[in-house]
Amino acid sequence: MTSSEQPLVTRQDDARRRKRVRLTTLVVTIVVLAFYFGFIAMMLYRATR
Amino acid sequence: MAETPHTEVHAHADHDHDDHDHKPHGWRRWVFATNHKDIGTMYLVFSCLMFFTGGAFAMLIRAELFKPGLQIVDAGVFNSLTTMHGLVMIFGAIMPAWVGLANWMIPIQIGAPDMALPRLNNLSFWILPFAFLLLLSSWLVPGSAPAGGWTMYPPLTLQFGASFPMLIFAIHMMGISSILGALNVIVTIMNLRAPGMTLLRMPLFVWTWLITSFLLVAVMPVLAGAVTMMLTDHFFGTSFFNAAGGGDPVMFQHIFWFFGHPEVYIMILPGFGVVSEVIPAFSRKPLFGYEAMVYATASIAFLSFIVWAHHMFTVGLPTSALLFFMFATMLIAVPTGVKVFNWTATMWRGSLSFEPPMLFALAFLFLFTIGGFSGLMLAIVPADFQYQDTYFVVAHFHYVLVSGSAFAIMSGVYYWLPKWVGRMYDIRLGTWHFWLSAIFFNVLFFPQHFLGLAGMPRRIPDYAVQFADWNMVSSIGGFAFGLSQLLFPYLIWKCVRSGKPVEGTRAWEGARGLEWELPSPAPYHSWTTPPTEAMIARGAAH
Repeated sequence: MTSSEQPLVTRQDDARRRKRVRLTTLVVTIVVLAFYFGFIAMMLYRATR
Repeated sequence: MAETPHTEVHAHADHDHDDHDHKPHGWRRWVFATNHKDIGTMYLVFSCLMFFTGGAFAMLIRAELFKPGLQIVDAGVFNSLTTMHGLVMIFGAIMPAWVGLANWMIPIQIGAPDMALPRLNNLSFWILPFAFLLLLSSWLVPGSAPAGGWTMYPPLTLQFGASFPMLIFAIHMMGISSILGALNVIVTIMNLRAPGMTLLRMPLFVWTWLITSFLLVAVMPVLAGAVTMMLTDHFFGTSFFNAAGGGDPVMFQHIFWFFGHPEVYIMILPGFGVVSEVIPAFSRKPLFGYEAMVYATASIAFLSFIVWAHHMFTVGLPTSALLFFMFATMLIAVPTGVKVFNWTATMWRGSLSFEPPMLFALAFLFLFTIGGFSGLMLAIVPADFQYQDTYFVVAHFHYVLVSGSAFAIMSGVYYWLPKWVGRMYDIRLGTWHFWLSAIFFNVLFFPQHFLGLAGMPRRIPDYAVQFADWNMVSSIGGFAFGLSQLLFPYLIWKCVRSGKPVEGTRAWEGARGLEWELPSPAPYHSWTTPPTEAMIARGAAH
């Protein structure tokens, strides 16, 4: 499905909403990466103590 | 739609395509799917396939345990069967079923036109078949499929041959799929709710999924980190979990269960949501204590992060840790009790009827509570020393997961199926499916409590003769339970082919929520014009 065929969301706040979607995605992605690398880093720190 | 959209959002009403099903056709519709309903359907079909694959493994396990001695498979294959049964059921059947239901229902329950990230949605689904192809094809490599249990404890799991990297990469792929799915749910709920759909007006299914998504985002990367470290231990000479190199195998258990216990709630919380929708609908009453249900769900999710070591009481923890984890585990009974009380209070003086969704929801309520009580028994440290690694644990987690997850999924499918396909299924056949499932579920798993208390260890293909009778009963229950599940896909197929068309928007008299404001079947593109305030208020009348 092309983007032009996507169902419409409200026009008036579409840009603001897209921005919020990108921001939420970014924050959640950072949390995911922090948990993944955080636990590995914690184990490395524990091993080198 | 019966009502005129709210004036604030009228600017786009000229694009109201609710009645037009512009959709791609053929294989492209599914391979390049971005529509939440199509992706939800694919998740549910995939989950059904995996349910029967994992179920076939369970049938073989029960066939081997039908009587003492080795009859059908050798000990190595038996270990592979228990391992693969767990992995397939958890990651292939239950979790994708919930993601499928989330895909189908969340956008239409919050008045959104689709998920916020449709292409990512497509990716998160299409990762799954390849992950399971990789995992299941490990049966064909030298040394056969992984056999160290779904918990993958080192050093045992590190000793596998060719199946080890297949297992690790499959787990990574499943994890990525789950994380992307959770990300999509969070972003959708936080940003795409219709005007007027405040957080405390959201249906409980949406609430439980939002909380579940935060759990997924927090713990799936931890599992991924743990298996990445196992991978480097195996192939790159590190010693994270290798005692010979200064590592700590018990640390893997801590990390695994930091993921593993919230994972249990990942599989159950959406079930709480479904039951919180179904019981009010078939009691013809609003849900009792809506806000308390939300707070109880959040409390359970929080507590699930601080109880992980109750899975490893016998590894040699300090007494203070044993006490902390014992009491923290028992605390979970409080918010869970709030929920059970509220569901019961919802039914109190309700005008009850017992169609299949309600029957499965009630079975969930009774059987999940039994699983909860045996969980409390296991939370008691000295008692757990006795029960550890026995069939009592097997009985406990099947009461929690089969009745807590599988029955809740069936309740949800039976509840929303008429909305999805616009046809009503054969209620009589669904009722038969329920009674056969409920009866044989108990024949299958209740005797396992006795076996465990008598000392029968789990994950063994052979056993002492004093365990023979209850194992035979359990196996008979298993075969009957497995066969009765075949009614489920048959019923759905029959409904899609020749079910009686649903008249009006509501398939059930007491159903509330935005999904029941849409025509049946739900249009391919729904809520392209947001719902009105009146629609939201009608659905949110808690």
